[in-house]
Amino acid sequence: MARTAFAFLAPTLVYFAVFYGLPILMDLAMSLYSGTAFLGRGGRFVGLLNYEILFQDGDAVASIVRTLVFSAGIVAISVPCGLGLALTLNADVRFRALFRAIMFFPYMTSMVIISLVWSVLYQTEAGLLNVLLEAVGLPKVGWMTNPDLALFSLIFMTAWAEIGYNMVLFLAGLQGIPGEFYDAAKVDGAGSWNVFRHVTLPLLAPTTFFCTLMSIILSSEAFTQVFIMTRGGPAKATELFSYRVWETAFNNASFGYAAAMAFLMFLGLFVITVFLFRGWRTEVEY
Amino acid sequence: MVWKAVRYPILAVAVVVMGFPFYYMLAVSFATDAQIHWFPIPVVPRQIAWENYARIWDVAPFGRFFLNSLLVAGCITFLHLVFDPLAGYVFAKFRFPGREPLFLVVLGTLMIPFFLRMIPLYWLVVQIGWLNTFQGLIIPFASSAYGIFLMRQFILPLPSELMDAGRIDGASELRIFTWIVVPQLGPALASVGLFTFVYQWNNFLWPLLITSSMDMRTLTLGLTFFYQEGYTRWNLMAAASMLLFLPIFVLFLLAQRFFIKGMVTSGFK
Repeated sequence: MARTAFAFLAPTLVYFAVFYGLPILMDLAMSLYSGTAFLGRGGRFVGLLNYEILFQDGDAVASIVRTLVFSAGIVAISVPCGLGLALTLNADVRFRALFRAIMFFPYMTSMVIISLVWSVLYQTEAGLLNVLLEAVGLPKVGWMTNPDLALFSLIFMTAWAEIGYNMVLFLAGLQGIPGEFYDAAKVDGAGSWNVFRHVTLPLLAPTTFFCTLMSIILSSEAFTQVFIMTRGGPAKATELFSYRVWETAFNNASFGYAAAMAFLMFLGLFVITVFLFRGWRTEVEY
Repeated sequence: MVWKAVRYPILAVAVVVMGFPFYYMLAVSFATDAQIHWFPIPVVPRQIAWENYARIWDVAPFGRFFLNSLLVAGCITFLHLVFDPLAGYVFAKFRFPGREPLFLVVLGTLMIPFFLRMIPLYWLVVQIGWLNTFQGLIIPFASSAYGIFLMRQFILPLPSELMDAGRIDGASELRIFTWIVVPQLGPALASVGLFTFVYQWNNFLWPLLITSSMDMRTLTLGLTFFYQEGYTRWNLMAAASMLLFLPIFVLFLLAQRFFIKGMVTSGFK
């Protein structure tokens, strides 16, 4: 039995060892070297120097803060909107399947396409969004060119793409709530807001946790939209940490430093996950 | 009661917000060259420039890009469909020392951001000499914890008696797997296959890193060529986007329920 098991597992184990285990260890090793160790000549062992530099690198720290804002913004938009759509579409609505499909589809679409379409919509001179603003008598806005606004524009677009994903998970969560809970609440004379606040929302806590976590993980790895739409600009306003990792490694060839950045990203996500998980547990045990 | 009254207005707004960008992409793809210089690009094109769809082939070899994307995403999907059920089957139905820790390690890889693996994977591909090759695009994505987990969840409730009956009849383990287990896995295979295909079809960062010649580029990369010409020819870019968009759209129309089921099962339960 054990022999068959390992024979069947062998390709998978080799795969995970070579394409996960090895790279993770390599990243850690590279992060202890300067310059282009392993990927070219030079590079010497510098210990934790890359990490020290990282915390003193104002631009890197700024990009970490920016990524946190980006993630928080996406969670703040896509989780409530996903829940709202799920509540609306969990009810008996005409063309329900069609509505669900329309809401979910952006999630299946390549970020390249989404970036291209929103680039057109966000155009300053005559993008449709500014045309709309002008039509109601407001001034034009530099959606992608104003440094104060560009990150928000990216947040909105990325959240837009993720709403459908959250909606589907919330729909599944809603369908997992037994009808008796609602009946009991009705017998007690609870209004629909109270039912939502005290029955639906607490019972959906695991889904909310999962959606939040997934949104944070996805947004911390957002790269394509920055690469295509802004290249981190204007004035670094949209330079997310993930983009900076790529830039440091593949534009500046500072592989050691970039490896340290990537490892920090992993640690950060790990801490956030543990933190969220703890919070969720105390929330649910009541 | 208020809730019921606002339901359809909410949905109407949501449909416009979620659906309009896709419609607009189609409209832009039919815009004439003159129209893309006189912004805004019309929402309802009065004349339809069908020729845009013929002109994109002169910009870059989009046929080649399309085939590359198809080959890469197709091969990766195939590998997933072979190895994910095997591993899922072992984790669901076999008892052996170290099963739980191994499964946890595999599941744990879901926590690993791609950026942590990106630089060493690049190094690895350079070392093996796989830069700018199909192997380099395919093999690093040959399996995933997501697919294995989904398969395991699907196989767990299958009665073990079925497999034991096969063993009593003297069937080999591989035969039991291919003749007894796999035929039960239809919906799970569909979910994993579709998800893997869509994910890889849309992959951007990895091909960007390791491909360098025109004949190895994938479609997602090809679309960015329109940006590199001083001014952007939005109409041609939108037309070329359709090459990337339509296969996923058709797959989604045909198999929506497998997408949704796969997502929900991977989420919890």
